[in-house]
Amino acid sequence: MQEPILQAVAVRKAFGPDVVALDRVDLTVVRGEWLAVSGTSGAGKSTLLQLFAALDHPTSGRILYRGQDLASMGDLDHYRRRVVGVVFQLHHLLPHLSVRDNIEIAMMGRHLSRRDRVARVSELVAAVGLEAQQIRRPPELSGGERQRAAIARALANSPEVLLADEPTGSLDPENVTRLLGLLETLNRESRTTIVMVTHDRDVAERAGRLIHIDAGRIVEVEGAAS
Amino acid sequence: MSGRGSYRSLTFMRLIFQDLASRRTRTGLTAVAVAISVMAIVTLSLVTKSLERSAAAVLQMGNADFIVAQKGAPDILSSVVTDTQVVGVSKTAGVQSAVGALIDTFRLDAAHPQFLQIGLAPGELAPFGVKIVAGRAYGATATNEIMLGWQAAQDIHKSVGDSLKVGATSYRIVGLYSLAQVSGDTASMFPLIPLQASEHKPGTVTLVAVQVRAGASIDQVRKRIAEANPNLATVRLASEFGRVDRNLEFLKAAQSGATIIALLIGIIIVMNSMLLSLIERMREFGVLRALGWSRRRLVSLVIGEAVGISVIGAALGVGLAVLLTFSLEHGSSLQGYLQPQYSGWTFGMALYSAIGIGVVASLYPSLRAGMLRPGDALRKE
Ligand SMILES: Nc1ncnc2c1ncn2[C@@H]1O[C@H](COP(=O)(O)OP(=O)(O)OP(=O)(O)O)[C@@H](O)[C@H]1O
Ligand SMILES: [Mg+2]
Repeated sequence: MQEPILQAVAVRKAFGPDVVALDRVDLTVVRGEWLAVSGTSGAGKSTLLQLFAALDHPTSGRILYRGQDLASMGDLDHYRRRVVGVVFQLHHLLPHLSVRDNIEIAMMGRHLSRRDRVARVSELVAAVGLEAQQIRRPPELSGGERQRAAIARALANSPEVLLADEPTGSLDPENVTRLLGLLETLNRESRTTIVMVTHDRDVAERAGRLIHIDAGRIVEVEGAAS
Repeated sequence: MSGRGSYRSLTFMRLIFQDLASRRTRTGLTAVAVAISVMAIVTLSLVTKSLERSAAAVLQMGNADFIVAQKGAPDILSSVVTDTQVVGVSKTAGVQSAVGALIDTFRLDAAHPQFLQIGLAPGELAPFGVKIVAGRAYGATATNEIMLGWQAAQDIHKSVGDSLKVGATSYRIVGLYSLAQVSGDTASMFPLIPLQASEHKPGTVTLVAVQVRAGASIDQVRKRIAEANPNLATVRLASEFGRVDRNLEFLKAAQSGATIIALLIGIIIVMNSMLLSLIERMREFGVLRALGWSRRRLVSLVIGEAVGISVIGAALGVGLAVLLTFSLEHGSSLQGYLQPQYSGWTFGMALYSAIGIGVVASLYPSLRAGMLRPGDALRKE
C-alpha cells in the first residue's frame, strides 16, 4: 500500500526576481520509502529539503504532510519537532554545547523525564559511534564526527521522516557503511521514511528510489516507490 | 567512560548558564554595568533612608498627635517658632497641650558628631512624654544641670552625678530619662531657658508637640493652627516631613531622579548586549526553531539570559553598595551622621531592580528572536 507522507505539488521557490531554485516540482514521498536526491551543485536539492522541513514557504504550490497543506497547519513547531528530523548540509551544531547537549536540546520541548532524555542521548551517541567524543564540543570534533552528531540530533525525537542533506559527505568508508547500516535498520524496523541528498552513487544505490534534480526541476526518476 | 546515569540532563537553567559562559567577557562587562546601576540605586536608598530616619526621629519625639514647625525650613533643626506662637498654639480650640522644644546638636566626640540636645521646661517634661528613670529633673533655670537619655548614658558610660563636657562648659548629670523612643533615649535634655541663652536663641523653640483634647478632630485643630499662623506647618505623617525639612525633600527628589537614570542606563546597556548577541546568534536561533523550539521557548531563553546577567549584576551591585556605604559611613565627612540599616528590603530592592532591568531590556530583543523565520535565520553567517 502506498501511503503518501510528504508531497510537493507544483512547487516553485524563487529567491528575488532572478533566482528560481525550484520550478514546478511535483513529488510524492511514500511512507516508509528511502528516497535519494541527486543533482549538480545549485540544482535546488537543499531548497527542496528546507521546504519539506517547514523552514521556508514555497513561492507558489503546496507542501502536504499526509494530505494537509503545511501552510494551513497551526502548529509547525510540533511538525518540526516530531514529524521531521533534519541533518543540515552545514550540520549547524551549537558550538558552545557538548555533543550530548546538542542532541538533548532537540528534545527540550517534550514531556520527557530527565532520566529518559539522558538514556535516549546515550542510545543515540552509541548508535553513531561517538561515545568517546560525547562530552566534547563541535570545534573539537572532526568533520565526520560533527556530521554523525548532527545525525544523532536529527534522530533524537524518532521522526517519521529523516531529511538528510549529504549526511555522508565527510565520512570515511567505514563510517559510511556504519551510517547506512543504521539508516537501513531505521528504515526497515521503524519504517522511518528517509529523504537523503547525496552525490555518492554507492550511497544512492541503497535507496529504493533515486531522483535527479537539475536547475530546479526533477528530470529523472530511477526505481519506484516501494 | 562513565557509566549510565552519570551524565547530566540539559535543563533550561543550565542552557542559560552555558550560553552566558560561552560569552564570558560580554556577560561579565554587562553584569558590571548592571552592578554599577544597582549600586547607585541601593546606596542612594540607604543614604536617603538614613537621613530620613534622623529627620523623622526628631519629629517623632514628644508624645504628640502632631508637630508644629516653621513652614519650608531648610531642615527641621533650623525651624524657628517663637514663644508667642507657642502660646497661640496652646490657646487654639481643641488643643490639650502644646509643648515647645528647642532641639539642636553638639559634638560630643568623634563617634557622636551630632549628639541631640532637647531643651524642655521642667514643667513640660510630663506632657512631652518624659519619664525620669533615675535621679531627678533639672531646675528650670539651672545653667549647669542636664539629664541624659538612659540609652545614651549606657552608651557613653555615664550615670547620675557624673559630669559631661559640652564645648567649654561642664554640666552635671542630675537624672536619666526615658522617652520610650530610640532617638529620644540616645539624646540629652537641657532646661529650656538656659539652653535658649547658650544657643543664642532667646524666646524661640524648634518645634511644638501638640496633643489634641479627647473628642476634638485632629484635622480641624491642624487647620485652625495653620490658618492662624501662615508661617507654620503641621506635620503628622512621615510623608509630610518635607513641609518642614526642604533638604530632605530635595534629597528624595534627587534619589528618585538618580534611580530612574540608573535603571535606564542599566536597561540600555543590557538591551544593547542582548541585541548584539541576537545578531551573532541568528543561526543558532534558526537551528532551535528548526528543531521545533516554540517562539515562546526561544523568547524565554533570551529573557532568561538577560535576567541571568542582571542577577549576577545585582549580587555584585549589592556588594559594591555595601562597600561604598561603608566607606561613606566611616571614611568621609559623613562619619557619624550616616547610619545605614541593611535589611531584607535593601537586598530585595537590588534583586527586583535587576530582574526589572533584565526583563525590560530583553523584551525587544527576545521578541525579535521570536519573530525570526527559521529559514532566513539559518542562512545568516
Ligand atoms: N537565500 C537565497 N537567496 C538567493 N539565492 C538562493 C538562496 N538559497 C539558495 N539560493 C539559490 O538557489 C539555488 C538552489 O540552491 P540549493 O542550496 O538548493 O542548491 P543545492 O542543490 O543544495 O546545491 P549544493 O549541492 O551545492 O548544496 C542556487 O542557485 C542558490 O544559489
Ligand atoms: Mg545543498
